[in-house]
Amino acid sequence: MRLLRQTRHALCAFTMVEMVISLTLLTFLSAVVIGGMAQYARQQKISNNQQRIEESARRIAQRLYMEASNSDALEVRENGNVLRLGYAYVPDVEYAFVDLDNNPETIADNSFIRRRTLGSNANGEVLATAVSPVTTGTPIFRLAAGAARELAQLNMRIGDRRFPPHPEDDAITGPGFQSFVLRASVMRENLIPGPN
Amino acid sequence: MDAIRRPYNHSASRGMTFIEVMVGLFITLVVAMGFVGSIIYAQRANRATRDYLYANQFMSSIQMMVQASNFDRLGDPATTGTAYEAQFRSNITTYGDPRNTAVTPPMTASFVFTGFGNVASATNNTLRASFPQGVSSWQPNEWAGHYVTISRGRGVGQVMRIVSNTANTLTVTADLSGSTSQGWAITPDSTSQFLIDASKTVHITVTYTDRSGRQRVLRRTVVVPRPAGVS
Repeated sequence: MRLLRQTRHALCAFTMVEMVISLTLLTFLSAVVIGGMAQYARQQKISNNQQRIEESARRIAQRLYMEASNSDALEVRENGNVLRLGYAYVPDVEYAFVDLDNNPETIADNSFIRRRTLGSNANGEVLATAVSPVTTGTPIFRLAAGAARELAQLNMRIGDRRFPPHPEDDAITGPGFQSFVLRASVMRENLIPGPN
Repeated sequence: MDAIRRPYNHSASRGMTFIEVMVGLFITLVVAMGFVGSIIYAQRANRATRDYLYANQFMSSIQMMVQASNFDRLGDPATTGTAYEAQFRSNITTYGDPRNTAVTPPMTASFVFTGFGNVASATNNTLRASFPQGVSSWQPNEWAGHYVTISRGRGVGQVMRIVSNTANTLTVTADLSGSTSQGWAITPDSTSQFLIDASKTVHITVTYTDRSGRQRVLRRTVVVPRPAGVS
Protein backbone atom coordinates (compact mmCIF):
# COMPACT_ATOMS: atom_id res chain seq x y z
CA MET A 1 0.00 0.00 0.00
CA ARG A 2 2.78 2.33 0.79
CA LEU A 3 4.24 1.75 -2.62
CA LEU A 4 0.84 2.27 -4.20
CA ARG A 5 0.36 5.61 -2.49
CA GLN A 6 3.79 6.70 -3.56
CA THR A 7 3.19 5.66 -7.10
CA ARG A 8 -0.15 7.48 -7.31
CA HIS A 9 1.24 10.56 -5.76
CA ALA A 10 4.08 10.62 -8.16
CA LEU A 11 1.99 10.20 -11.29
CA CYS A 12 -1.24 12.12 -10.66
CA ALA A 13 -2.29 15.80 -10.68
CA PHE A 14 -0.19 18.96 -10.90
CA THR A 15 2.17 20.68 -8.66
CA MET A 16 1.09 24.06 -7.35
CA VAL A 17 3.43 25.85 -9.75
CA GLU A 18 1.99 24.00 -12.71
CA MET A 19 -1.54 24.84 -11.61
CA VAL A 20 -0.75 28.53 -11.26
CA ILE A 21 0.95 28.72 -14.64
CA SER A 22 -1.82 26.77 -16.34
CA LEU A 23 -4.60 28.81 -14.82
CA THR A 24 -2.84 32.05 -15.66
CA LEU A 25 -2.46 31.05 -19.27
CA LEU A 26 -6.00 29.74 -19.39
CA THR A 27 -7.32 32.99 -17.99
CA PHE A 28 -5.31 34.96 -20.51
CA LEU A 29 -6.49 32.85 -23.42
CA SER A 30 -10.07 32.92 -22.23
CA ALA A 31 -9.89 36.68 -22.14
CA VAL A 32 -8.52 36.71 -25.69
CA VAL A 33 -11.19 34.35 -26.99
CA ILE A 34 -14.10 35.98 -25.19
CA GLY A 35 -12.82 39.44 -26.07
CA GLY A 36 -12.46 38.35 -29.67
CA MET A 37 -15.99 37.02 -29.72
CA ALA A 38 -17.30 40.24 -28.22
CA GLN A 39 -15.36 42.25 -30.79
CA TYR A 40 -16.67 40.00 -33.54
CA ALA A 41 -20.24 40.52 -32.39
CA ARG A 42 -19.70 44.27 -32.28
CA GLN A 43 -18.11 44.27 -35.71
CA GLN A 44 -20.96 42.17 -37.05
CA LYS A 45 -23.45 44.67 -35.74
CA ILE A 46 -21.54 47.56 -37.33
CA SER A 47 -21.32 45.67 -40.62
CA ASN A 48 -25.00 44.87 -40.62
CA ASN A 49 -25.91 48.49 -40.02
CA GLN A 50 -23.48 49.62 -42.71
CA GLN A 51 -24.91 47.12 -45.19
CA ARG A 52 -28.44 48.25 -44.36
CA ILE A 53 -27.42 51.84 -45.03
CA GLU A 54 -25.66 50.98 -48.29
CA GLU A 55 -28.62 48.94 -49.43
CA SER A 56 -31.05 51.74 -48.72
CA ALA A 57 -28.77 54.12 -50.65
CA ARG A 58 -28.73 51.74 -53.59
CA ARG A 59 -32.52 51.39 -53.53
CA ILE A 60 -33.02 55.14 -53.42
CA ALA A 61 -30.61 55.73 -56.30
CA GLN A 62 -32.20 53.04 -58.43
CA ARG A 63 -35.75 54.20 -57.79
CA LEU A 64 -34.92 57.84 -58.32
CA TYR A 65 -33.09 57.03 -61.53
CA MET A 66 -36.05 55.07 -62.92
CA GLU A 67 -38.66 57.62 -61.95
CA ALA A 68 -36.60 60.54 -63.20
CA SER A 69 -35.92 58.76 -66.48
CA ASN A 70 -39.64 58.41 -67.12
CA SER A 71 -40.58 61.89 -65.96
CA ASP A 72 -41.42 64.84 -68.15
CA ALA A 73 -39.95 67.54 -65.92
CA LEU A 74 -37.50 67.90 -63.08
CA GLU A 75 -37.73 70.71 -60.59
CA VAL A 76 -35.67 71.40 -57.49
CA ARG A 77 -37.68 73.18 -54.80
CA GLU A 78 -37.53 74.44 -51.23
CA ASN A 79 -33.87 75.44 -51.23
CA GLY A 80 -32.73 72.10 -52.54
CA ASN A 81 -34.68 69.96 -50.09
CA VAL A 82 -37.21 68.69 -52.61
CA LEU A 83 -37.01 67.22 -56.09
CA ARG A 84 -40.30 67.20 -57.93
CA LEU A 85 -40.75 64.86 -60.86
CA GLY A 86 -43.47 65.98 -63.19
CA TYR A 87 -45.46 63.58 -65.35
CA ALA A 88 -47.88 64.34 -68.12
CA TYR A 89 -50.43 61.61 -67.43
CA VAL A 90 -49.88 60.45 -63.84
CA PRO A 91 -49.60 62.39 -60.57
CA ASP A 92 -46.32 64.10 -59.85
CA VAL A 93 -43.92 62.70 -57.27
CA GLU A 94 -41.63 64.44 -54.83
CA TYR A 95 -38.52 63.21 -53.11
CA ALA A 96 -37.96 65.28 -50.00
CA PHE A 97 -35.46 65.73 -47.21
CA VAL A 98 -37.38 66.23 -43.98
CA ASP A 99 -35.64 67.92 -41.06
CA LEU A 100 -38.09 68.40 -38.21
CA ASP A 101 -35.88 70.59 -36.02
CA ASN A 102 -34.33 72.52 -38.90
CA ASN A 103 -30.88 71.50 -37.75
CA PRO A 104 -29.32 69.08 -40.24
CA GLU A 105 -26.53 68.19 -37.80
CA THR A 106 -28.98 66.35 -35.56
CA ILE A 107 -29.82 63.28 -37.57
CA ALA A 108 -32.35 61.69 -35.23
CA ASP A 109 -35.25 63.66 -36.66
CA ASN A 110 -34.11 63.67 -40.29
CA SER A 111 -35.56 61.45 -42.96
CA PHE A 112 -35.76 61.11 -46.71
CA ILE A 113 -39.21 60.47 -48.10
CA ARG A 114 -41.08 59.96 -51.32
CA ARG A 115 -44.48 61.58 -51.42
CA ARG A 116 -47.39 61.92 -53.79
CA THR A 117 -49.15 64.62 -51.80
CA LEU A 118 -47.10 67.52 -53.05
CA GLY A 119 -45.72 69.80 -50.38
CA SER A 120 -46.94 67.62 -47.53
CA ASN A 121 -45.10 65.00 -45.54
CA ALA A 122 -48.35 63.29 -44.63
CA ASN A 123 -48.48 59.73 -45.93
CA GLY A 124 -44.95 60.05 -47.25
CA GLU A 125 -43.04 56.84 -47.73
CA VAL A 126 -39.90 56.90 -45.63
CA LEU A 127 -36.98 55.69 -47.74
CA ALA A 128 -34.19 56.37 -45.26
CA THR A 129 -33.71 57.74 -41.78
CA ALA A 130 -30.73 59.45 -40.12
CA VAL A 131 -30.00 61.37 -43.31
CA SER A 132 -28.31 64.74 -43.61
CA PRO A 133 -26.52 66.97 -46.11
CA VAL A 134 -23.02 65.74 -46.98
CA THR A 135 -21.55 68.89 -45.51
CA THR A 136 -23.46 71.52 -43.62
CA GLY A 137 -24.97 74.08 -45.95
CA THR A 138 -24.86 72.03 -49.12
CA PRO A 139 -28.30 71.31 -50.58
CA ILE A 140 -29.57 67.78 -50.93
CA PHE A 141 -30.73 68.41 -54.49
CA ARG A 142 -29.46 70.77 -57.12
CA LEU A 143 -29.66 71.13 -60.84
CA ALA A 144 -26.27 70.99 -62.53
CA ALA A 145 -25.45 74.48 -63.74
CA GLY A 146 -24.69 74.78 -67.42
CA ALA A 147 -25.72 71.27 -68.42
CA ALA A 148 -27.54 71.04 -71.73
CA ARG A 149 -30.14 68.77 -70.15
CA GLU A 150 -31.85 69.08 -66.79
CA LEU A 151 -29.51 67.07 -64.61
CA ALA A 152 -30.64 66.72 -61.00
CA GLN A 153 -27.92 65.81 -58.56
CA LEU A 154 -28.57 64.20 -55.20
CA ASN A 155 -25.95 64.55 -52.45
CA MET A 156 -26.96 63.05 -49.17
CA ARG A 157 -25.41 61.28 -46.24
CA ILE A 158 -27.13 58.34 -44.65
CA GLY A 159 -25.91 57.49 -41.16
CA ASP A 160 -23.17 58.95 -38.97
CA ARG A 161 -21.93 62.43 -39.74
CA ARG A 162 -18.65 62.29 -37.86
CA PHE A 163 -15.56 60.16 -38.01
CA PRO A 164 -14.21 58.86 -35.64
CA PRO A 165 -17.56 57.68 -34.30
CA HIS A 166 -19.35 60.21 -32.14
CA PRO A 167 -21.62 59.30 -29.20
CA GLU A 168 -24.49 61.45 -30.50
CA ASP A 169 -24.45 59.63 -33.83
CA ASP A 170 -23.92 56.26 -32.18
CA ALA A 171 -27.04 56.77 -30.09
CA ILE A 172 -29.04 56.67 -33.33
CA THR A 173 -27.16 54.36 -35.64
CA GLY A 174 -25.46 52.10 -33.11
CA PRO A 175 -21.80 51.86 -32.11
CA GLY A 176 -19.08 52.40 -34.69
CA PHE A 177 -19.01 54.46 -37.86
CA GLN A 178 -21.79 53.57 -40.26
CA SER A 179 -22.26 56.05 -43.02
CA PHE A 180 -22.68 56.20 -46.75
CA VAL A 181 -22.73 59.26 -48.95
CA LEU A 182 -25.30 58.82 -51.66
CA ARG A 183 -24.48 60.75 -54.79
CA ALA A 184 -26.62 60.29 -57.84
CA SER A 185 -27.18 62.25 -61.02
CA VAL A 186 -30.47 61.71 -62.80
CA MET A 187 -32.19 63.16 -65.82
CA ARG A 188 -35.24 62.48 -67.87
CA GLU A 189 -34.72 60.28 -70.86
CA ASN A 190 -37.95 60.77 -72.81
CA LEU A 191 -36.75 64.02 -74.27
CA ILE A 192 -38.70 65.85 -76.91
CA PRO A 193 -36.60 65.64 -80.09
CA GLY A 194 -34.73 68.87 -80.37
CA PRO A 195 -31.40 70.51 -79.77
CA ASN A 196 -31.18 69.31 -76.17
CA MET B 1 2.87 -6.15 -5.50
CA ASP B 2 2.22 -7.08 -9.13
CA ALA B 3 -1.41 -7.75 -8.24
CA ILE B 4 -1.71 -4.31 -6.80
CA ARG B 5 -0.06 -2.56 -9.75
CA ARG B 6 -1.85 -4.42 -12.52
CA PRO B 7 -5.39 -3.04 -12.14
CA TYR B 8 -4.04 0.43 -11.76
CA ASN B 9 -4.00 2.11 -15.16
CA HIS B 10 -1.59 4.99 -15.04
CA SER B 11 -2.66 6.71 -18.22
CA ALA B 12 -6.36 6.55 -17.38
CA SER B 13 -6.28 7.95 -13.91
CA ARG B 14 -3.51 10.50 -13.84
CA GLY B 15 -4.03 14.20 -14.69
CA MET B 16 -2.43 15.94 -17.65
CA THR B 17 1.25 16.55 -17.59
CA PHE B 18 2.61 20.05 -17.83
CA ILE B 19 3.66 19.41 -21.42
CA GLU B 20 0.15 18.32 -22.36
CA VAL B 21 -1.33 21.44 -20.83
CA MET B 22 1.16 23.63 -22.70
CA VAL B 23 0.31 21.91 -25.98
CA GLY B 24 -3.39 22.38 -25.31
CA LEU B 25 -2.94 26.03 -24.52
CA PHE B 26 -0.82 26.55 -27.60
CA ILE B 27 -3.58 25.07 -29.77
CA THR B 28 -6.11 27.32 -28.09
CA LEU B 29 -3.86 30.31 -28.76
CA VAL B 30 -3.58 29.44 -32.43
CA VAL B 31 -7.36 29.13 -32.71
CA ALA B 32 -7.80 32.47 -30.96
CA MET B 33 -5.31 34.12 -33.32
CA GLY B 34 -7.19 32.74 -36.30
CA PHE B 35 -10.39 34.10 -34.83
CA VAL B 36 -8.97 37.58 -34.37
CA GLY B 37 -7.41 37.45 -37.83
CA SER B 38 -10.77 36.66 -39.38
CA ILE B 39 -12.28 39.70 -37.68
CA ILE B 40 -9.57 41.95 -39.09
CA TYR B 41 -10.02 40.42 -42.52
CA ALA B 42 -13.79 40.95 -42.37
CA GLN B 43 -13.27 44.60 -41.44
CA ARG B 44 -10.98 45.12 -44.41
CA ALA B 45 -13.36 43.34 -46.75
CA ASN B 46 -16.20 45.58 -45.60
CA ARG B 47 -14.12 48.68 -46.26
CA ALA B 48 -13.13 47.38 -49.68
CA THR B 49 -16.79 46.80 -50.53
CA ARG B 50 -17.70 50.30 -49.42
CA ASP B 51 -14.88 51.81 -51.50
CA TYR B 52 -16.03 49.84 -54.52
CA LEU B 53 -19.61 51.05 -54.03
CA TYR B 54 -18.35 54.61 -53.86
CA ALA B 55 -16.31 54.15 -57.03
CA ASN B 56 -19.26 52.62 -58.86
CA GLN B 57 -21.54 55.40 -57.70
CA PHE B 58 -18.99 57.98 -58.81
CA MET B 59 -18.76 56.31 -62.21
CA SER B 60 -22.54 56.30 -62.67
CA SER B 61 -22.79 59.93 -61.67
CA ILE B 62 -20.01 60.93 -64.06
CA GLN B 63 -21.69 58.96 -66.83
CA MET B 64 -24.93 60.90 -66.40
CA MET B 65 -23.03 64.18 -66.23
CA VAL B 66 -21.36 63.40 -69.55
CA GLN B 67 -24.68 62.47 -71.11
CA ALA B 68 -26.16 65.78 -70.01
CA SER B 69 -23.55 67.69 -72.01
CA ASN B 70 -24.10 69.89 -75.00
CA PHE B 71 -23.23 67.64 -77.89
CA ASP B 72 -21.19 70.17 -79.83
CA ARG B 73 -19.14 71.33 -76.86
CA LEU B 74 -18.44 67.83 -75.54
CA GLY B 75 -14.81 66.98 -76.30
CA ASP B 76 -14.27 70.21 -78.21
CA PRO B 77 -10.85 71.67 -77.35
CA ALA B 78 -12.35 75.15 -77.71
CA THR B 79 -14.57 74.41 -74.72
CA THR B 80 -12.74 75.93 -71.79
CA GLY B 81 -13.30 78.05 -68.72
CA THR B 82 -16.59 77.80 -66.92
CA ALA B 83 -18.43 75.86 -69.60
CA TYR B 84 -20.08 72.77 -68.16
CA GLU B 85 -18.37 70.47 -70.65
CA ALA B 86 -14.91 71.87 -69.82
CA GLN B 87 -14.83 69.82 -66.61
CA PHE B 88 -14.41 66.64 -68.66
CA ARG B 89 -11.24 67.88 -70.32
CA SER B 90 -9.25 67.22 -67.17
CA ASN B 91 -9.41 64.64 -64.44
CA ILE B 92 -12.05 64.89 -61.72
CA THR B 93 -11.01 63.82 -58.24
CA THR B 94 -13.31 63.33 -55.31
CA TYR B 95 -13.72 61.40 -52.09
CA GLY B 96 -16.55 58.99 -51.46
CA ASP B 97 -17.15 60.83 -48.22
CA PRO B 98 -15.86 64.38 -48.69
CA ARG B 99 -16.46 65.34 -45.08
CA ASN B 100 -14.56 62.40 -43.62
CA THR B 101 -11.69 61.97 -46.05
CA ALA B 102 -9.92 59.51 -43.76
CA VAL B 103 -12.71 57.03 -44.35
CA THR B 104 -12.45 56.66 -48.11
CA PRO B 105 -9.57 56.96 -50.57
CA PRO B 106 -9.58 59.65 -53.26
CA MET B 107 -11.03 58.55 -56.58
CA THR B 108 -10.07 60.03 -59.93
CA ALA B 109 -12.07 59.96 -63.14
CA SER B 110 -10.26 60.47 -66.43
CA PHE B 111 -11.79 60.85 -69.87
CA VAL B 112 -10.79 59.80 -73.36
CA PHE B 113 -12.82 61.13 -76.26
CA THR B 114 -12.98 59.26 -79.51
CA GLY B 115 -15.17 58.47 -82.50
CA PHE B 116 -15.25 61.93 -84.03
CA GLY B 117 -12.95 64.42 -85.66
CA ASN B 118 -12.06 66.23 -88.82
CA VAL B 119 -11.29 64.74 -92.19
CA ALA B 120 -7.66 65.24 -93.17
CA SER B 121 -8.06 63.59 -96.57
CA ALA B 122 -10.08 60.91 -98.29
CA THR B 123 -9.90 58.63 -101.28
CA ASN B 124 -12.64 56.69 -103.02
CA ASN B 125 -13.09 54.32 -100.08
CA THR B 126 -10.96 55.69 -97.24
CA LEU B 127 -11.10 58.51 -94.75
CA ARG B 128 -7.99 59.76 -92.99
CA ALA B 129 -8.85 61.51 -89.75
CA SER B 130 -7.36 64.55 -88.12
CA PHE B 131 -8.05 64.49 -84.39
CA PRO B 132 -8.71 67.63 -82.38
CA GLN B 133 -6.58 68.05 -79.28
CA GLY B 134 -7.68 65.61 -76.61
CA VAL B 135 -9.40 63.24 -79.02
CA SER B 136 -7.86 59.79 -79.12
CA SER B 137 -6.61 57.91 -82.15
CA TRP B 138 -7.89 54.38 -82.68
CA GLN B 139 -6.98 50.80 -81.98
CA PRO B 140 -6.67 48.72 -85.17
CA ASN B 141 -10.12 47.61 -86.35
CA GLU B 142 -11.91 48.81 -83.25
CA TRP B 143 -14.53 50.42 -85.49
CA ALA B 144 -14.93 47.60 -88.02
CA GLY B 145 -18.63 47.05 -88.62
CA HIS B 146 -19.64 50.48 -87.29
CA TYR B 147 -20.87 53.37 -89.42
CA VAL B 148 -19.27 56.72 -90.14
CA THR B 149 -21.38 59.77 -90.87
CA ILE B 150 -20.12 62.95 -92.50
CA SER B 151 -21.67 65.50 -90.15
CA ARG B 152 -20.37 68.75 -91.65
CA GLY B 153 -18.62 70.08 -94.72
CA ARG B 154 -18.23 68.45 -98.08
CA GLY B 155 -20.15 65.19 -98.39
CA VAL B 156 -22.39 65.94 -95.40
CA GLY B 157 -25.08 63.38 -94.71
CA GLN B 158 -23.32 60.38 -96.20
CA VAL B 159 -23.24 57.23 -94.10
CA MET B 160 -20.65 54.56 -94.87
CA ARG B 161 -19.93 51.21 -93.30
CA ILE B 162 -16.47 50.87 -91.80
CA VAL B 163 -14.70 47.79 -93.14
CA SER B 164 -11.50 48.25 -91.14
CA ASN B 165 -9.42 50.95 -89.51
CA THR B 166 -5.87 51.82 -88.53
CA ALA B 167 -4.85 54.40 -85.94
CA ASN B 168 -6.20 57.24 -88.04
CA THR B 169 -7.66 55.86 -91.27
CA LEU B 170 -11.01 54.24 -92.00
CA THR B 171 -11.62 51.95 -94.94
CA VAL B 172 -15.28 52.28 -95.82
CA THR B 173 -17.94 51.08 -98.20
CA ALA B 174 -21.25 52.59 -99.18
CA ASP B 175 -22.80 49.12 -99.14
CA LEU B 176 -24.16 49.14 -95.59
CA SER B 177 -24.25 45.36 -95.52
CA GLY B 178 -20.52 45.47 -96.13
CA SER B 179 -20.60 42.74 -98.75
CA THR B 180 -19.33 44.84 -101.64
CA SER B 181 -16.92 47.69 -101.95
CA GLN B 182 -18.43 50.96 -103.06
CA GLY B 183 -16.87 54.37 -102.74
CA TRP B 184 -18.11 57.74 -101.57
CA ALA B 185 -20.74 59.43 -103.68
CA ILE B 186 -19.10 62.72 -102.75
CA THR B 187 -15.57 62.33 -101.46
CA PRO B 188 -15.09 64.33 -98.23
CA ASP B 189 -12.25 66.78 -97.93
CA SER B 190 -10.58 68.81 -95.19
CA THR B 191 -13.72 70.88 -94.73
CA SER B 192 -15.56 67.77 -93.59
CA GLN B 193 -16.18 66.49 -90.10
CA PHE B 194 -17.27 63.00 -89.17
CA LEU B 195 -18.97 61.06 -86.41
CA ILE B 196 -18.79 57.33 -85.89
CA ASP B 197 -22.24 55.86 -85.16
CA ALA B 198 -23.54 59.44 -85.23
CA SER B 199 -22.20 59.80 -81.70
CA LYS B 200 -19.31 60.91 -79.57
CA THR B 201 -17.74 58.15 -77.55
CA VAL B 202 -16.24 58.83 -74.14
CA HIS B 203 -14.17 56.23 -72.30
CA ILE B 204 -14.34 56.93 -68.57
CA THR B 205 -11.81 55.41 -66.19
CA VAL B 206 -12.16 55.67 -62.43
CA THR B 207 -9.11 54.73 -60.38
CA TYR B 208 -8.47 54.56 -56.68
CA THR B 209 -6.00 52.86 -54.41
CA ASP B 210 -7.39 50.65 -51.71
CA ARG B 211 -5.95 50.31 -48.24
CA SER B 212 -3.71 47.43 -49.16
CA GLY B 213 -2.04 49.64 -51.77
CA ARG B 214 -3.61 47.95 -54.78
CA GLN B 215 -4.84 50.19 -57.54
CA ARG B 216 -8.43 49.51 -58.54
CA VAL B 217 -9.72 50.50 -61.96
CA LEU B 218 -13.28 50.78 -63.24
CA ARG B 219 -13.93 51.43 -66.93
CA ARG B 220 -17.07 52.41 -68.74
CA THR B 221 -17.78 53.63 -72.23
CA VAL B 222 -20.45 56.25 -72.75
CA VAL B 223 -21.87 56.85 -76.20
CA VAL B 224 -23.50 60.26 -76.50
CA PRO B 225 -25.76 60.25 -79.56
CA ARG B 226 -26.14 63.31 -81.72
CA PRO B 227 -29.48 64.91 -80.87
CA ALA B 228 -31.95 65.41 -83.66
CA GLY B 229 -31.44 68.71 -85.40
CA VAL B 230 -27.75 68.95 -84.59
CA SER B 231 -25.29 68.51 -87.41
